Amino acid sequence: MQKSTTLPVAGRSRHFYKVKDSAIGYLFLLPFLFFYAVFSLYPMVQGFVISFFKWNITGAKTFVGIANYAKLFQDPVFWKALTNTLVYVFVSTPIFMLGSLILALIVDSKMLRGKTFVRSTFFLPNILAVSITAVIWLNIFQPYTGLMNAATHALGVKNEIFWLSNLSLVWPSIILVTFWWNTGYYMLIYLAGLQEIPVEQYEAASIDGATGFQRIWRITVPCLKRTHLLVLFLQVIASFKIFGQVFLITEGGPGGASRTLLQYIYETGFTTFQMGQASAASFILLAIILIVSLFQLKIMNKQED
Amino acid sequence: MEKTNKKFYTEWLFNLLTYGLCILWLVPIVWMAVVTFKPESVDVTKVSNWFQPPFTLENVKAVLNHPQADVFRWIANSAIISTITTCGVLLICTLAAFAFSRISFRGKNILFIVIMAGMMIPREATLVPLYTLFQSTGMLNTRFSLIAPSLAAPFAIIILKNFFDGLPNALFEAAQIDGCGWFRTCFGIAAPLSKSALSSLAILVFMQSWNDFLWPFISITKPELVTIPVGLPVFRSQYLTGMGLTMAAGALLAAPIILVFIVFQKNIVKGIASAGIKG
Repeated sequence: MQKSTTLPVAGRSRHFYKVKDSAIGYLFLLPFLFFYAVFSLYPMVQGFVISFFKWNITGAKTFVGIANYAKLFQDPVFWKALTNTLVYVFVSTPIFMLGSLILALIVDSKMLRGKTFVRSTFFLPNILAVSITAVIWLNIFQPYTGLMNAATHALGVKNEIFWLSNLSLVWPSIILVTFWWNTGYYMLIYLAGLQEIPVEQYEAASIDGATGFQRIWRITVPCLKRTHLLVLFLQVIASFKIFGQVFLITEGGPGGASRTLLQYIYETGFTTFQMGQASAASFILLAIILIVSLFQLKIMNKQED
Repeated sequence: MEKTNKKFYTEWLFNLLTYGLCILWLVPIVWMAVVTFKPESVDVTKVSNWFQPPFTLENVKAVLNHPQADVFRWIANSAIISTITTCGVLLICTLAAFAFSRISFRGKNILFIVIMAGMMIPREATLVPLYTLFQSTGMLNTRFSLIAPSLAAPFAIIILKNFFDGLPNALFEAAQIDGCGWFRTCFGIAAPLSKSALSSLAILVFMQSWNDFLWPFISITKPELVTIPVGLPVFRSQYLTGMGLTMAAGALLAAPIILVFIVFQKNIVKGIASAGIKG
């Protein structure tokens, strides 16, 4: 891990150099450590502390022990938000992974003309800010005036579909938006993985007479194991934190059917100012992401051995 | 001969389908542009109407003349905050990554582990304490409050450290023998040789900052500091008018970044791929 950093310089003792190195090392790290400690570590600890207090931001803090957590677990709104988020993670992840893999295979194909254009096109939505994406799709999903219903009418569906106020359609709609918005990013990660597969693998396969699909299934997919894991965990962690597009398109509706965990945190913390309870919910989110990350670390390290 | 024919048609079909998918992918953005320039009376769900007159600039004018929406200020704010954040991350993380890669000091390994563990702390889970921290120090509603929380980015250290680790040792040894100080070694030798990693990182950080929604949405209440992601929803909540206005606002706010993307698409696409795989 470490390269040669202590240099044998004539005439000076090793000890002197080490001391000097330490000072310089810390000096180089100082700006990072300052911002890291103040804006990452301190808030994490402080958040954990606040989660044991009742506090409405203006008044005094009163210690309530685990009451915030108890209240949280008795709150049906919290459970709904948590299950909404969990279901979204489990349903959307395979769709996004498969989608981005397929797009990557398409833009990596030797048959494709104008690769740069096609790659850029699939990636383009990714550069749009979440509120721009939300405005576009909000209008697309609008009944009577939106594109979505114009398309379904053209396909022969007679009645108006209320994409965003229908309980069973609101999540598929959100998944569609997120798919359009984010898949390009994961496509690029897959693409980088694809380009690391040695060409000899494919040559051997074509000598053995493997067809295109066999080649993908037997060589490409297994060779991408590390990339699958990377995309999987990036995706899962991002999905647990889903908020912007849902909040801006549905505002959590209809009737809380699309409220996410992060929206719950936002609402308890910044619209009703129950800071203690919002911190408790934040800690649950933190714990979930920590567990997923540790899991990722373990699996990815195992892969490397 | 027959085989080449078959290959030709497969290739043709493959490209046709792919470009069809591309068009489908672009429809939402194209439609936003179309709605922007169409009067309210035109049925914009009919593709046949899209590229034919009548066109109008009314929606764009309405956005620009809006009393509560200052789109140019939003764009400027986003640009300023994203640029400072990007420069800050590059500077701070180059220093830190260089220290981890090339300088030996006490407690290095444990510090590295602590910082990497920080990658697992999602900002989304520390909103309440972050808010109260800025509030209690009177720094809420400042540019600093939008920039500072993003500066210490552990993933940037990983990307840069990996790159610095891969640079030839002889270079640094020569620099030391020539009496080149650590700062000059870092910014005069290591950084210029890592242009590709630095530019990938810059793109990634800039995009993240440009699209940052939740934190500014919660913390910014001064109209002078509103950024694009936070400003745009104002149109929706305050003016439930037709879609022309919201789409025109969206198009105006999307235009600068789309232009930047078109110009630098090759670098951006390459940069994301190389940074993503390491991060």
